[in-house]
Amino acid sequence: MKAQWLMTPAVIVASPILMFSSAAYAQQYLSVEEAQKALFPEAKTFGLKEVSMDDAAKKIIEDKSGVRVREPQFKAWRAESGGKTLGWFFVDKVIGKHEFITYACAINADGSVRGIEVLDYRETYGGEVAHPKWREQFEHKTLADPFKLGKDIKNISGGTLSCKNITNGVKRLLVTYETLLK
Amino acid sequence: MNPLIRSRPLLGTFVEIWGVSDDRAGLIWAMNEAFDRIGHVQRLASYHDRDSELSAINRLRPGERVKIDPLTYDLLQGVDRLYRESGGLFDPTSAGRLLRHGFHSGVGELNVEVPYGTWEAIELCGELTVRVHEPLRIDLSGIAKGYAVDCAFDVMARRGIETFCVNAGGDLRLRSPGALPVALRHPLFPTLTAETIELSEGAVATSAGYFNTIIDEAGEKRIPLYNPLTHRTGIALRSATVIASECMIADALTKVVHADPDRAETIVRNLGARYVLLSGEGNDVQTRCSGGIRIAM
Repeated sequence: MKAQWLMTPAVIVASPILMFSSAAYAQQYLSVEEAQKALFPEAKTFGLKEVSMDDAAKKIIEDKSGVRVREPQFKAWRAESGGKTLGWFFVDKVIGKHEFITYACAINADGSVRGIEVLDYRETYGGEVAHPKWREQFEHKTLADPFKLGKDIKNISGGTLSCKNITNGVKRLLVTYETLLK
Repeated sequence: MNPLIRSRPLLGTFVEIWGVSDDRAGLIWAMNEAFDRIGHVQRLASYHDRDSELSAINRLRPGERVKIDPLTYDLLQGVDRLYRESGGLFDPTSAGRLLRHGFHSGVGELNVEVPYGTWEAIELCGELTVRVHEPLRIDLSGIAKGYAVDCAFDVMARRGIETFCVNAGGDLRLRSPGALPVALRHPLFPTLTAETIELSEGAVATSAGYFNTIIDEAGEKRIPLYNPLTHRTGIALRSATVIASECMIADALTKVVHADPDRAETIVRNLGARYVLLSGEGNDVQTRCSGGIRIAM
């Protein structure tokens, strides 16, 4: 089959992203309870502990982790089975490119990471949107055909969202665990 | 029946898996296993992790051999197939040569430019053993993500899930009893789509390098996609999308399409795949594609 070249008066030159789009699929990740079960399947109970850190603790955690503490209050759940502590389950937030990412982090009793699960991340933008050059191109442009508006985007191919912010969040949680809960 | 969608930070991006099943607990279990498999591939095949099996191979001296995990071996066999099918256009040993072009690549002792061999210098000896005949700097980032998606796909399929999709930051593979729309879209607005294709079983991958560009000696913007035959880096403002049966194939072929669109035509077709190449000039977008993909403009 022969390739064909087509010209289009497209809005701008840009990285195309392939995506799967269907309005039938509402975006909803695991609930807190489901994430607890997914990360600690053997746990019998999850005991909630609400922690409020003072300025001294906040400073220690920030110094040790190198990551800013935005919320001095947080919730953590002790995952237990037969009176034995399996580890701790945290729900935390970090900032994505535009909006908060809520995620769960499970830490084993020995202080190692057991798993991470994203709970809520509605940001469907690619990381590139925040790039100033990228935005510049778009100013004063209109959404002319042939592009169509679609909603409820699920799968984006070609996007390169970085998960670096979660890595930093996890670093902060590990130090929080060592400092306040261990 | 609502689909379950989960997301975990893996492979340096967000990996999403969605699926539909009457048995929600079973679906969660299948996804746990699928995510774990991706994490396993990541640990084995990371170029930047000095404890990975790939780094162990990159440290081998000529004549030395090492025994590796079945998954790593399977991945290397996939690379070998794509290297041969592409006539050397897909060659993941270019990492060291990208250093010369001004792209940072590698960590520690591996981040040093020495004369490296091509894929011809690796020997898959059987019994999960590989041997190198020249120093090698293999970077599997152009294929490992697709391979990890395939591994997760296999887990979900084996667990009997009939409708699902695994999407690793843009490289995806899906299965569905009915065809699902996959839309080609403009990236500036997440809600902007150009045209759709229908897919009920298959993989899609896209490669572009807009935000890792350098200006070469001729003043042209280049991206770290390397043509091993011409020793040229890729042209910026181009994006290649490949639709194939497996995500590993789709992922690797996007690099072949970038490297040489003319030669890619036959290579892509021989592997039962299709491609869309978009390149921009001025205010226009040029679309080039294999037959079988309809692009309405």
